Amino acid sequence: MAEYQNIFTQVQVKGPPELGIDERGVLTNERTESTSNNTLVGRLGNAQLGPIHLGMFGVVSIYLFAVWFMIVGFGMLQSVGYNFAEFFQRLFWLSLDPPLEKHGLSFPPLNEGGLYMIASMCLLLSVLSWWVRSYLRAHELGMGKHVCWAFAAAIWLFLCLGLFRPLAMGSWSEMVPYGIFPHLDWTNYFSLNYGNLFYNPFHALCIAFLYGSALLFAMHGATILAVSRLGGDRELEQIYDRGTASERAALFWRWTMGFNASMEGIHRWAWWFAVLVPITGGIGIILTGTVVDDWRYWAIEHGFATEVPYSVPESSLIKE
Amino acid sequence: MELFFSNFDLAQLCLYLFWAFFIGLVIYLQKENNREGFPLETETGDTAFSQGPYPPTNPKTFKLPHGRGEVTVPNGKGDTRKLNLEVTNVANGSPLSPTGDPMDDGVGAAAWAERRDVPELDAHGHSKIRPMSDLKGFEVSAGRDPRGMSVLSADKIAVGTVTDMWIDVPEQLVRYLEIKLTDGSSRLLPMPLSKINPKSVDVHALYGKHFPKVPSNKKKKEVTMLEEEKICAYYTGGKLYAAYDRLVSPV
Repeated sequence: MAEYQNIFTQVQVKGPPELGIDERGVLTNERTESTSNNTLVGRLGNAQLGPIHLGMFGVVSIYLFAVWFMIVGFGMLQSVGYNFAEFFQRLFWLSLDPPLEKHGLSFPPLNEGGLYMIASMCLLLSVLSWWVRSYLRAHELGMGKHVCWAFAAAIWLFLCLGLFRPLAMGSWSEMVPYGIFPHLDWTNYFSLNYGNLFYNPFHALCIAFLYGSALLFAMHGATILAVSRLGGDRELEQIYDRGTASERAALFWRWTMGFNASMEGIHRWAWWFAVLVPITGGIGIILTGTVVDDWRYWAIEHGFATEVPYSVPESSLIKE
Repeated sequence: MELFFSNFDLAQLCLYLFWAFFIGLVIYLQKENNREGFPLETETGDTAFSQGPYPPTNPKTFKLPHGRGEVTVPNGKGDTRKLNLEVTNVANGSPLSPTGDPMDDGVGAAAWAERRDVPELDAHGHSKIRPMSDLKGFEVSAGRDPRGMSVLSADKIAVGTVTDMWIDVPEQLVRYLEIKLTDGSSRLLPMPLSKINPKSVDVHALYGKHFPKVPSNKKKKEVTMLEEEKICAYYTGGKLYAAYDRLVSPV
């Protein structure tokens, strides 16, 4: 007969809304009052939506994000002569572009990148404000700050692309355009202009951590679902009081690949692999155009590429 | 040498600094993961000669809430109960063989760990998993309600009826179905091992004859973590031991 795999919830139960912890009674006044129940979401996870915390930093962040969004939208609209039909038809190909190269690091005219700079300032402040929010929420719940430090790693990459590297290169024109296909064309151009980014070792590390993170998340998600019949998804208590679920999860991997993690430790592996994606990526970006302007040539100089593709560099051959 | 240093530049320096950091990180991560399962043992239970390449991990202590004391890991404390298993092959790493009924003895695929004999608590200090009949304000919001349905084992025997659902209160999900067996006694059935069909709840894990032997919980309205271990492990063991043909390799 067909076996239940614990992917979808078979029967959903709903009780009084779970309002979380508020020992000192000060947090509820900054949260929305009502919660709703969505049984479609409940098929996969928790059906309760809300309460959500609306604090100063959250509201400021959402407001600034909306301003950024509107500026980008109007910039795109202006580029098609305010023709709404063209706007919607060409939406994915439109963009708000960074300043022209000739302006360097000074503030350019509004229609030559000035609007883009204003929008970027809104986005930066919005992201930083949201980061502060993530810190404060964790603090008020008595949690560790691991989420906000992971977010900080992502912000590092965001800043490398939008602030540090343009400053180092002496020109705001190095920033990334706001537009769907245009920002993808930017990455293609970036790689072509700097001698094929695949030869940038930090780009390679970034990819390794990205693939590794995807792999780890699939492994961990599957492993926990596989031991959910033994209560393995109740991970916190399994950390303090190891049960047969954690033991079987560890043994599965020990017998498969020779080593294993623990119930707490797997989350440390996953956190570091995820955080190293934007950290190495940001380093790779910062080095491009500043320290190295042709990665393939850099690879030839450092002995892992040749002029003719896909052959072993002679310098690395063992000499007779 | 010339290969490494003749074209030495900042990018190369960054790369080698990263490698040094990463090696240190991997050693740190693996040591953190070695808080469980050490010291390594041989199949006969003696401490193994090789404890792996990593230095021993410094212990850390968890201070548990709700008066549950402290836990320090690593603590080298394995389970102490006698296991009805025997060594059948001198090569270390070979599987042990059960000497009796592995499901009754709780070994192999039916193994359980010696967890604390107390219920798991929610953040407010109350029992986390409670029968729905004992809770106010809970209702079925979607899916098929299995209460009242007949429970069928893998060999299509009707072993009882579902009388209640045990709910994880803070997470609002069903963890166990309570079954009243044909002899009148109650047992818990883990939700991930039950398949709710339109007319019955099917349990592939066990055959009809196993249900009376499923371990039970002492208190009517509470289940401890140790009891949960034994109950879940019994059903899981059935996946491999319920019938002889389950022991044969599927390939």
